[in-house]
Amino acid sequence: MITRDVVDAIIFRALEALNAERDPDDQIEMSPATPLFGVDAALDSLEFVSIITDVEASLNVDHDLDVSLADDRAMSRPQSPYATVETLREYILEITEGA
Amino acid sequence: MELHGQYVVLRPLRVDDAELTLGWREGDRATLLNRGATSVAEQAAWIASRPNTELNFVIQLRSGQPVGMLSLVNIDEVNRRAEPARFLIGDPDSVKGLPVAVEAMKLLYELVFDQMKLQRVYGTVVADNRLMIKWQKFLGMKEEGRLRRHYFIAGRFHDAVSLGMMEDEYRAIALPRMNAFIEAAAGGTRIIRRSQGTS
Repeated sequence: MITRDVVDAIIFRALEALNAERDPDDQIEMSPATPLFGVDAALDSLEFVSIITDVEASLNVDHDLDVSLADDRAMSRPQSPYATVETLREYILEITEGA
Repeated sequence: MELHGQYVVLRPLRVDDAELTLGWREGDRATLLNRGATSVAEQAAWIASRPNTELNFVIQLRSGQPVGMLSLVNIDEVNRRAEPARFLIGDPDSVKGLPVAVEAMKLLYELVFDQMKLQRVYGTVVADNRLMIKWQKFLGMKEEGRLRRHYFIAGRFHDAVSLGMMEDEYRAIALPRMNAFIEAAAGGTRIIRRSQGTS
């Protein structure tokens, strides 16, 4: 079973990859509270999708978890699972529970 | 022709959009697009000369505020294929927290597959534009090849990655994914709007 720390590490790795493409003075903060999608987020749409695809790939390749972070389960939730690193982590833990 | 979504409207590009769209094309975000006009007059002339094998849209918010552009080019009704192109969010600050970019692509694909009854979309992306390649794959495109030294941009040649998507792939994979993304991404926005009594 995948742990909270492992999921955080996967998301932070995706952010590190994104930061490698950004200017040194325009880096995304590595924190559970970092906004990923929303009015406070520093990421644009392409960057956000890059995070989602990198996290999906890591879950699949490194942890044998074939999950989609944009399917029916992500819809109609009271809070967007994409809001912050923390909400994305909790969403991943929820959909991979028992896997 | 206007295409209406939940968050955005795609409306035809007009000659009087020349100054606005030139500004977007000259921004940092357009660095890896093909070289375009260098003056408002050139941009206006370019807009006025678009052939009937193209549909060129301005992406605007439901409020009417223009935020980007998107085109469908090389429309081929014999082979039933076309190329989405010139996708650019020129005003990123105005679209933060809204699934504008995904919905704009969804509206274009609905036009392609539901109204025009085409069977394939395709395109090329500069190989260095890794974020755009990931983006296109996220929206259902599959990599079909690599074109060596295909573009000359900013003083040097660049390889291009060739991408394509068939109608059945759009319906089975891309459309459900786009719908889920739009709904999920808007989750937080819905809460804010409910608390403001606007929806």
